[in-house]
Formats: sequence, structure tokens, C-alpha cells
Amino acid sequence: MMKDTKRALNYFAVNLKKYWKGLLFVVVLTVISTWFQVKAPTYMGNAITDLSKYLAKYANPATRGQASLQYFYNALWALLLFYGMNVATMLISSLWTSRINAMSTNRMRIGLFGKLQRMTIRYFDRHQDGKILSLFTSDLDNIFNAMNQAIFELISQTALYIGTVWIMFSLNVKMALATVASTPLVIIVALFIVRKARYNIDLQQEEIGRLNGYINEQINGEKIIITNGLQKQSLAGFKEKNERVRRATFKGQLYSGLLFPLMQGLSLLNLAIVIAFGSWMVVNDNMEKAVGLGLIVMFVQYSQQYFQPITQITSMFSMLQLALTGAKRLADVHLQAEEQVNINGKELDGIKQGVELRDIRFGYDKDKEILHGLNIHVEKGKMIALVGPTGSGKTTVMNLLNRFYDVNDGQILFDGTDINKIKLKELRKNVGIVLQDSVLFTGTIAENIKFGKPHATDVEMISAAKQAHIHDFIKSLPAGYATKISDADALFSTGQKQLISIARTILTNPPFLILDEATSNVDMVTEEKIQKAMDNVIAGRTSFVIAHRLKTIIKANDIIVLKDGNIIEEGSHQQLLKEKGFYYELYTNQMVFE
Amino acid sequence: MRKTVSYVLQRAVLFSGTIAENLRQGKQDATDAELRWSAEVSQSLEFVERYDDGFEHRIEERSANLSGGQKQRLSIARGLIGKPQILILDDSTSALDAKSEKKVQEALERDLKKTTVFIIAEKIASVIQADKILVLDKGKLAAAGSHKELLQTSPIYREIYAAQVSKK
Repeated sequence: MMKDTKRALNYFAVNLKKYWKGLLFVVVLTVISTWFQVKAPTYMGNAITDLSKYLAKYANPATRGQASLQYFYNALWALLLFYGMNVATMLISSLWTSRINAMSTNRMRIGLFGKLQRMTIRYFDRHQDGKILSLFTSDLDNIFNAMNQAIFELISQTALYIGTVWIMFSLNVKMALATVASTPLVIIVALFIVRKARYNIDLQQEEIGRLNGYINEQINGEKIIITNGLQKQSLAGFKEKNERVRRATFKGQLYSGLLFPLMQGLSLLNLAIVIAFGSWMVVNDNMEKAVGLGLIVMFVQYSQQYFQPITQITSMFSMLQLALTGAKRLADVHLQAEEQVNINGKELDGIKQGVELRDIRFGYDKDKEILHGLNIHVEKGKMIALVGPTGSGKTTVMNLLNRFYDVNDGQILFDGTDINKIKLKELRKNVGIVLQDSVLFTGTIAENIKFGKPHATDVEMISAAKQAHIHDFIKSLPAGYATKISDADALFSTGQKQLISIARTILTNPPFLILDEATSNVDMVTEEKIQKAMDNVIAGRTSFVIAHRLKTIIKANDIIVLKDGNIIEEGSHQQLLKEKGFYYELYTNQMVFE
Repeated sequence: MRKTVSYVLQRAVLFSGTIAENLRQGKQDATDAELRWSAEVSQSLEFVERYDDGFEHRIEERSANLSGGQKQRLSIARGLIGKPQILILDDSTSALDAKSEKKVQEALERDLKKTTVFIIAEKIASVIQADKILVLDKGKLAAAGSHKELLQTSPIYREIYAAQVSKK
């Protein structure tokens, strides 16, 4: 628990460090402002004293001539000045707080998104989108709210607290001790409740993340829900998760809500202690009655003032705890593993010899091995085809070649260099991938094709589109390359989306190409066109093709048949047919209609 | 209520939860035997059985622990578990190898005799055994008939067919 809070505070420290001068400025201003506020009443007292003196002189005919309002006016001016300064300093200080707040939460948001961009694909494979999103929508918002509303209060109340303690001890040590005597009890009570509240507020944010994850998944699967008539079930699942959020929120609020009245109660108890102790002291120490009474009245005031910062801060507790929880959750993300960028790694300027997989062993979970010692060698400019039943590990091989995941054992060598020793940026620049699911982003078609090479000219872009056989289709659209692709991109068929993503890959002109079932969703007429284009694209490039359509890989120099993470057959199309093994069976099944 | 139409989408979407939970989305009160049967027909049984916890195996967020083909098989299983009167397969076998696809089709013919199956496909191998093939071109019905008839009568169908048959 303490560790969590420490991590949360550390997160704030890291993100606020840059603004320490501004924060110091705010603290100084707040202290000054508090001083003006505390000091101002003395001038009011002065003003009243001066006024009554004036009235006394004026009332007496003998001294009427000497009566002057000068002192009274002076005191009034001082009072006005002090209140004016109090308002001005407070204004400037809250202005600065807002500025720092906006800048630092902005920094946190950028930091979080930046971190996401550096993280490994494993994190995204294991976390629901909705959960990740709620870090932005819920946790960062909580931090922002707390900083906006509480930071100023926190500083000024702390200043007030310290000021009060200091004044009390300078006035009367015994009475001061009596006033703070109950503080350990306050701390124990507070700690007990804070722990309960914190547990539930942590839980609340966790449940909100889960709820968002659920919502996101259900929206993505809306078609399944509708076609299977699962609306009621989907709603029931929502209600169940929502109920958990409600319960945690209620408990969190209940416990944090308890703090304020409890502190109020303790403050009254403290008052009783102060009065009782004061009376006892006055009697026991044979103090002059008037002085003693004055002392007690004064400390009654101070006792209340001493508790004011405590009750003020506890009244904001749930807001503060939400911010701490949020900071902890963001700090957790910042602890996640990042991709090794290998900034000092080797350069990779194209592929001169070839790519080799040497005794590769891998599993997404270390104890569940999926690939059991693969050896594959691709010479420069050659095309290797990976075939095999679903779940045999074809896509996994691709994940390794691009370092989405790192091998458990063995090596992947580009021109004899282990890919772990190559700059990640260089590696990715040299490896082009067409994924199983083509992803298009919101924006124009042109932007989507130029995604991997934003500064490409239109001539280059059109040439890539022509090679991908999508140019004619794009031209047939009223807005051509400027056609907007919306989020749903229902405008395009799967095949067309795939062609656009192929054009994107062609434009980046990578020396090493991975096609993961790239043509399986394209209709056969289109596939024929792509096939021709691919022949051109593949020429001179080293390539890995993972496909189920055997026709697309007949031209491969080497075909590798993968089953259950092992290579069971390897050779050219003709050789494998002669072997009459697994590949032969696949091929004859596929070509059954010939 | 008995389901009459079941629709298997091109993009296989599964939800985080167990395999059984996902399949039961197609038929809420499906028995274990029905789970097994649907998995068998969709060619999923072979990999489901390899999990220690079988149908209780958890599918992770965004189905990260399944391959594209496995997702599609389970999505087909969910579509047919309720033995619907009409089953629409919208390019739902694109990530299946030819052998598995053939097995799925054979099993459908064997076990779902009363079900009318619509197959939306881009490869001829998927529809070659259909009783009737509808050829669409630019939003219009261009031709209809069996595979043999269409080879005789429809130039578009012939063109698609020629493109899909290896030239050698």
C-alpha cells in the first residue's frame, strides 16, 4: 500500500519536476497571500481602536480640536491594501496553478501515449482497448480535476497549518501541546479509513477499466450480438460490470465521506480537551484570571484553526485519492517493458546475403512452446513459402522476423547479424509486411497509401497503386485519391482494403517482404492481378509468403510445410508433389475442381 | 425461440471468455454434446481438444491466443450450433486451408441436411458443390445455375474459373 502511494507520488514528482520554479512561485505567493489574510484583521482592530479614540476626543469639547481621523484613515487604507494584496496574490497564484496544471497533465497525456507507442505488441495483445482507453478518459481526468481544485487548497491549507502551529507554540507551549495532543489519534483514525477508502477507490478505477473494456468489445462485436439476438445477454453483462463499479464507487465514497464528519467530531473533542486543560492550568498555575480566560478563548480559536486544514483536506479526500490511484495506474503503465530500440545497434542497408532462422524456439508463454527449433534459410532475392494447417505457427514466424516478439532460444540472422543487434528502426525499415487483417486509418486514400512514407510524391503513390492494381478503382471514385476513409470504411471490400495496404507496402520499397495470407481475402480475379504485381514486387526482394492459396506460392523457390511448430516437409513445388506427403494432400485437395 | 437464420461473418469476432461461452452465443442452452458436434463440424475439435481445459479454455482479449484460422473455425461453430434453417457463410472460410474447408462442407451436407446454406465466396472451390450458384457483377445478378451449367453459359463465371485454375 505504502509502496503504491510512493509510486503515485513519484509519478507526480517526475511530471511536475519541470515546473518546480512555477510551483515554488505558487507556494511563495500562497504563503504571502495567507499572511495578508491573517494580518488584515489586526488593521481592522487598529481602525476600530483609532475610531473609538477619535470619538472619545471628539465627544470631549476640550479635546475636540485635537481630534483627527488621520490614524483611522491610515488603518483603513492599510486594511484595504492588505485585502487588496490578498486578493491579487491569490488571483495570480490560482492563475499560475491552472497554467501548471494544464501543462503538466498535458505532459502526462503525451507521456502516456508516447509510452504506448514504445511498448511491445505483447502488452496490446494482453490488454483490452477499452481498458487502455480508460487510462486517458478516467484516470487522467481524475488527476486533472484534483490538481485543478485541490492543489491550491493543499498548499494554502498546509501553510495555514504550519503557521498556526508556529504561532501557538510561540504563544504558550503548554496550551499548544494540549491542542496537538489528540493528533496521534487523528492520524490513526484517518489511516484506518484512508486504507479502506483507497482500497475501494483503486478497485473502482480497476472496475471502470473493466467496464470500458467490455463496452469496447461489445461494440466491436455488435454484428455478432445482433445476428445471434444476444442484446439482452450483452446488456446483462454490462449491468453486472456496472454494478461492480457502483459498489466500489459507493464504498470508496462512503469511506472517504466518513473522514470529514469524523474529523469534525475530533475537532470538537479537541476543543473540549483544550478548554478542560486550559481551566485546569489556570487554576493550578495560579494564573491571573483575566489573562487565563484570554488564553483559553485564544486557544479555542486556535484549536479550530488547527483543525481547519485537516477537515478541509479530508473533505477533498476522495478527489485526492482518485488522483493518487490514477497516478499509480499510469505509473504501472510506465513500468511496462518497451521494445528494445537498439539505438547503438548495427545499421542494415538492404539485404546482401540472406535471412536465416537458426534453431528457433518460441512460445507466447514461456512454458508453452509453439515453435520447436525451426531452421529456415532464405537467400537474397529468393522467395520462401510457409504453408501448414491453422495454428501451426506460420504467423508466429512472422511475428519473430519483425521482432514483434523475441525468440526464446535460437537466432534470427539478417546477413549473418543477429536481429537483436540491429537497430530496431533499421530492421523495421527493411522489413515490409502485409498483414492478415488490413488496417486503414481515418483519412484520405492518399494518406493511407503514403502512411509508411509520408513524403512520397503523388507520382510514386500512383505507381504503387498501379502495381497493386487498385489505381483504376480509386480513379473511379468521385474524389479519387482524396476519398475519405471513415472509421467504419464500409466503402471498401476486404479485397480493396487489402490492395490499398499492399500499395502502402509497395511504396515503402522494403528489401525484405513478408506477406501474411495477403491474398486470401481477395477475389480470384483480383488475386490474379495481384499475383502479377507481386511477381514484379518480389523480384529482387527477399520474401516470405504465408498463404493458404497454394497457387500463390507455386513459384516459391522453397516451400516449407509447418505443422505443430515443426518443419515436416521442405522443397520446391515439384519435389514436394513427388514426395506425396502432407503438401501433396493439401495441393490435390485444393485443386479438386480441376 | 428457435433461430431460423444464422450468419457467420467474414471477420471472425470472438469475445473474451471461454470457448464454450463463445459457442453458446449461438445457442444459449447448448449441451456439451452440441458443443462437441459444432466443433467437430467446423474442424475446431482437433485444436480445442489439445487444450488441457478443452471447451473451458479462455480466449484472451482480442483473441490474441488464437490464429486467424482458429478464430474462423470457432466463429463457424457458433454459427451452426443452433442448427438454423438458414445458414449464411460470408466468406467465412478464407483463412481455412482447402482440406479443412472441404471437411467443413462435407460435414455440413451430412449433418445439416435441412439447412439452407448460403455461401458467399470469392473462390470457386468454396461453392463448386453448391446446388445453385449466383454470379453477381456490379450489384446485378449476372448468371445463375450449377457449376457445370455456368461454365457453359456465363462468360464471367468462366473468366473467374479460369483465373483460379492453375495454368500449367
